Amino acid sequence: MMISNFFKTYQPRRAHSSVKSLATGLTIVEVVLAASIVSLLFASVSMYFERALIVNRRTTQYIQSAFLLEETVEVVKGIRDAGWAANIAPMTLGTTYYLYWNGALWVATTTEYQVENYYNRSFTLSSVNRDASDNIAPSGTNDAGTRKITATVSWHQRSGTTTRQVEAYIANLFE
Amino acid sequence: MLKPKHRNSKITSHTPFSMRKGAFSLVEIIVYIALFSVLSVVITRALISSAQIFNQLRIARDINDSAISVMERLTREIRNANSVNLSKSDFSTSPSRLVLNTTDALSAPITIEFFVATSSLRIKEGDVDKGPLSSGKTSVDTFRLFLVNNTNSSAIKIELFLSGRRGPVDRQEVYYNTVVLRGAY
Repeated sequence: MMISNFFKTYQPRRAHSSVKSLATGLTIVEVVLAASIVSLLFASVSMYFERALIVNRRTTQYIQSAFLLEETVEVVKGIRDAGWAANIAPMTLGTTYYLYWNGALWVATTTEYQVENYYNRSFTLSSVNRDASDNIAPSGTNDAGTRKITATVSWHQRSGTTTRQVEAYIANLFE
Repeated sequence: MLKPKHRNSKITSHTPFSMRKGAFSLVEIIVYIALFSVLSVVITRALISSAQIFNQLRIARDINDSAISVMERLTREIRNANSVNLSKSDFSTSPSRLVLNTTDALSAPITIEFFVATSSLRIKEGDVDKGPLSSGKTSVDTFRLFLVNNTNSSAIKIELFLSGRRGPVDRQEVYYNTVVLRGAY
């Protein structure tokens, strides 16, 4: 009799409401919440990969454009080697020139040419001044035997236009 | 005495389903199944596209690595070269072959050869094959060189098309460069 009274007194409490709901099933709110958490998780993983693909695409473009910039400077040096007076001296300073491959030689022209119908590649020449110590300076005596090349490669994509530039100097070495 | 309306016993049939101890209704099951199917489709598509993108990333990495190592080596060797061995070189068609007359670190004359074998670009130093420059996971689709003769120097125009494939995913990238032979100056 004493023992039965003890068990009556220390009966376990009624189950907590949330435990009860688990025992009876999930509410629609819980299902929707769980579903949204899972979807959010997968959406973020998916978005991470999408972003990685964009960055990866950009990496390839930067490598390709770096080679194109290097090529531009090299080609202008090649044109210089073919004759300064005939090729470099007649070029108008500040004018945008494009490079066209005619099958045997590179030709500088003002007609627009694109590489792979994607990269807009051009260069401009500008004058160079030298100071009293014959160093290249923003102002001083104009050096007609030296030109500054500014090579530009740009390309369009959905996020906007990317432009990359390099600068180099060429000198009249052979004439 | 009248009882308030909400005490009406009929209201118990409209209590939310979670409160009931009974089975699911048809509408509840349909809602759950619809939600489950939509979620499954979305998750499966996300998984498939993630796997494809992962493969694309690996291919692009292989291609870019190959492009950089091939181009860097080619441009350095061409820049240092004294002249092109015209009789041993093939130009204008792919795959081209380039044999450069150059000097080694001890200023001794040596030839450097670039050629394509089994879709990879290989290098020979003094007629000794030093192995491939491009990764085994990429294939050299086009390796076309042009010899550009300027009056006081020569230049080499390089066209390099590389591709990679992993499962159903494939990709091709093109790289161009031109380098003047400085050794001839």
